[in-house]
Amino acid sequence: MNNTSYKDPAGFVFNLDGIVYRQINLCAKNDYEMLMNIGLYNELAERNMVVRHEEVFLEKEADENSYKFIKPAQIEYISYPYEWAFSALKDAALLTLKIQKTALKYGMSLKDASAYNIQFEGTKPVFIDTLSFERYKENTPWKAYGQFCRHFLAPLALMSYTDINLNKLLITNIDGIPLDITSKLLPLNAKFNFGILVHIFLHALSQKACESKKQSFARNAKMRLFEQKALIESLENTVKSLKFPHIFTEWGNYYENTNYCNEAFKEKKSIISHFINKVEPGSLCDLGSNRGDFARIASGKNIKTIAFDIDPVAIEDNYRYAKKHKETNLLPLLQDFNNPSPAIGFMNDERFNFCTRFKCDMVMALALIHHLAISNNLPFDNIAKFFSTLGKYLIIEFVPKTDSKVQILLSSREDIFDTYNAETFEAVFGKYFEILEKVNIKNSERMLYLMRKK
Amino acid sequence: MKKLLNIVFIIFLYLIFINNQEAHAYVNPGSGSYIFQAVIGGILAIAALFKKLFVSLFGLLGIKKAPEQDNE
Repeated sequence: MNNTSYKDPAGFVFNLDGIVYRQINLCAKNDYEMLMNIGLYNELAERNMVVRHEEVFLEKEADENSYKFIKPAQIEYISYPYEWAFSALKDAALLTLKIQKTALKYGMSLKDASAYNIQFEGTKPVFIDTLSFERYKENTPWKAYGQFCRHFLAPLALMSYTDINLNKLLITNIDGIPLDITSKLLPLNAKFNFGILVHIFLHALSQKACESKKQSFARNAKMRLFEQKALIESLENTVKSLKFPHIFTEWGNYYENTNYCNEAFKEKKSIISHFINKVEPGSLCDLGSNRGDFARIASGKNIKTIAFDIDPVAIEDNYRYAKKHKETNLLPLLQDFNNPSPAIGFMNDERFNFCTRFKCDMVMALALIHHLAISNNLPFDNIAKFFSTLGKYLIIEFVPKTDSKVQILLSSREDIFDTYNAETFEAVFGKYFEILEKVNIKNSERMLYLMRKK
Repeated sequence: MKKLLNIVFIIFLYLIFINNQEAHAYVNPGSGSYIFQAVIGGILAIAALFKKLFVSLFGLLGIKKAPEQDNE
């Protein structure tokens, strides 16, 4: 059973021989049949808004609660909202609202609006929870409104108005960022955004005010369909009104400040392309991808590629570029390799950690080693071990101490890195990997290695 | 006029929601959102109706809103 799906009595996700299935319980029979027969599923699937599935017969798995089993289209890499670019979170929010609008047209409604119900195939968001649909009860408010505000609107508003890194609050708040906390963190000028004022500030106040009201008061709350549609339209307008803040980061214009000449940059690309052609991996994770120039060498060869970087501006630029060019094989994600995404939730088992989710055929770590070894004091041995857990092949760039970028790192601290040299690097990585090829990038002191896990 | 309406609306909502600040740990945290949207739904629906009317009116006068861009 998937560790989070035990919370939903309508069914659960489980893994059988590496394939993900979903069990639909008898109590969800009517809603599921309505979704399938009324035309809603077909419309959403045709518009690539929900994950497609086929019904399967799994005799051995059936029990007294099970009604049907479905096999959804498999999603290779599961990512979480605190790893998405600002625009990706925005796209996920808009997709959720679009689905709710479509569902209402068919007399159904989403019973939850969790950001974890969205996954990305390249830069295309897709809704994965087939059991989130239920029959719309006339004149009732949208059950998932509060959750939508916590999961989408609060992090987007905080990223837009306060600090782009505040999506990380989703790690410590698994069911979305509480609106009272969001209200405290948002600056005064956020109140001039009408949608934020209503859906965050006043919404937070209303939650406090309603804490003492009887539950029956909430149960009797009425909302007509046209009012709910207006609410969703207002949420849509608010999400669209939130802009990526104009900020400058260390990595935002990295490629303009490299110490490569154009020729060396081209040569680096051609060496990487050669390494990739030699291995022909099915998937590749680029660790420290910046705006994804090198990751695109892989995705351009039809290889499923995840481009990780710590910098929100680089990830945002990469996401927008991939979306604009309709790249289907590349997904940019935020990740700090000095502190990768942890396992969170009940028993630390609801959302998985980075190392569990991202296994690939090939790992690429270009100009990353000096940041891990020198900025973060990580020994070569730990770095090599980490890379070896992620993939079978490794493309890695070694940046020597004489390189100007390493000199910058050392300029503000004592040089305690006597063993930071190519010989030690090769010896230590040699414990975990076999070095298949080693090439010097012309007009630079940097080396590129192709390695295979031992 | 729009500003004045906004201010009246904000004061109205503050009066509705600010009157009780006691904490009750046994109340479903979703109740507030449930009641809140029921309250604001009607107001948002009227606002949306006015917006549509204005858009149509401007359309008749030949003033059109610039098309929305996907990412800023």
